[in-house]
Amino acid sequence: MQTLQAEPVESLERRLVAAMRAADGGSRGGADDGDLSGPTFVAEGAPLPGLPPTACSGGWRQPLPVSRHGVQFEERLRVAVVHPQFDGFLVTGLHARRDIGVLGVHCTGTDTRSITVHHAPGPLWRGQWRPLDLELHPGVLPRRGAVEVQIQAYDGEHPVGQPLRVVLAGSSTINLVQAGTGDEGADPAALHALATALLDDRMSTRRAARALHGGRSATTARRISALFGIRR
Amino acid sequence: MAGDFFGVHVPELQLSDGDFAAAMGAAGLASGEHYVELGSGHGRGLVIAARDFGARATGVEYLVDAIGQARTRARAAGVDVTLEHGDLRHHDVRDADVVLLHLGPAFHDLLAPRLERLLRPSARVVAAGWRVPGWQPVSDVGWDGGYVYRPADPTMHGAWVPHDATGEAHPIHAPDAPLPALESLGAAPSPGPLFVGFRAGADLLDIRVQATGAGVRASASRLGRGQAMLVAIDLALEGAPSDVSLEVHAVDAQGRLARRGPALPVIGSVSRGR
Repeated sequence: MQTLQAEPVESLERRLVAAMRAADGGSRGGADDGDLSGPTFVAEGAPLPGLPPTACSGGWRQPLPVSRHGVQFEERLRVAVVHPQFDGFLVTGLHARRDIGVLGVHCTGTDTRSITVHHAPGPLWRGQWRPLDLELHPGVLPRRGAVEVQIQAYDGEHPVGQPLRVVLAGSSTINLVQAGTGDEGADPAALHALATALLDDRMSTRRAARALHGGRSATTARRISALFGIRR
Repeated sequence: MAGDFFGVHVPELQLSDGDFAAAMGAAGLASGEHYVELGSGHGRGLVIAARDFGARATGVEYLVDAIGQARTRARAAGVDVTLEHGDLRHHDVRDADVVLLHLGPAFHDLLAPRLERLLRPSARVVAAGWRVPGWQPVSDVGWDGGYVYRPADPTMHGAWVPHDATGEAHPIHAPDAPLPALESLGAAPSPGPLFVGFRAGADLLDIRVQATGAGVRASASRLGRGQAMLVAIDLALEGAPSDVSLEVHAVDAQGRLARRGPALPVIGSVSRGR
């Protein structure tokens, strides 16, 4: 396990969340399109006394090759496990192979309160890439199981491209420190199995991780198990 | 601190003292220059800039307790730094020589147009962890924890790229013609035009591509930051070989460069000869 230096104030995550709050343009479960006149942003939960001084989450992604057509997120599925008492954020991006005059990114799903999408305002022209910061509010996650959120891009009122599926689960046992997940994707089959298991309940997740140990997805399964503290 | 944990790449969360020094060194921070850190946390970077580089250091931070810790840290180090409590999106950076960003990529993207507009051409921006979409990094300096840019320098407002990096599914003309990459421009001529890509490092208007030694056609007259276009180079199939050079002229979206003259200076050039 890896921990960072014990300087909570300097946590990038906390600074970023503070900047997002300062932006006053976000709204829970919606998108920050840069409308500075929007409602004051309210995020869930600052780090609590007695807990590790850094925000905690872990996750996997199923990346997508960039198409020459249409509009698409960088990935199809993101599974993230987050500490329920910390804010956090994930990072993804949107590629455009057609012009989007009025870009909007909105959440739908079982509990859209769990994610706020932040992105720069303005149109997205063909060939451009627009990064998205997904601010997580794990304080609203259920004690067991997970929530699933679909993040959809819009051109005005019209949806464009396929949505990004995000599965969020809380785990107070996690001490992996992470500001978003990075470049390495997970085995799609293992990832979908994990997502399904998370959406069921925590024990199913453990069983799924154990079962995956013996298959082609052993490496991914070991990582999953390690994150959950599961021993073979 | 960045690395792979359980197979997941973890970006830098906090910059170490060495990271800060490397970033400032890559940006060429010099004594007496103005260092501005947008989102300065509790001031480690400010202290290093002031103490180790002799720079004037200014930090902008929204968290009040972080500002207090930064002030304490600077006092303990015996350096003077300026700390401002406020929204980093609205900070006036016109006087900055080096700006350090260590935020999320969406925030880097959000800040980019303002930095392009307000900074001096000589100013450098270090983006830690995440690149700024569309900006062209300074090629001759680097830092493995981030990217160094000169966003207000017109020579950084575009770059030649292989034609297949433009995202164009088809060339401008002659769809059946071969599609040589940039590297093949030095090869013997083949029937049909040669193609090269041009990617804008800022919002550019009134783009004109000029060529000596060949005809040239561009697929766009305006580009957004990070967008690319195809440029077709029509070579003479007969006659003496000729050197070809290309120039791109444009103005940025704020019109700032237009006020300096009718066009940008040369952004890049591609030569073909044999």
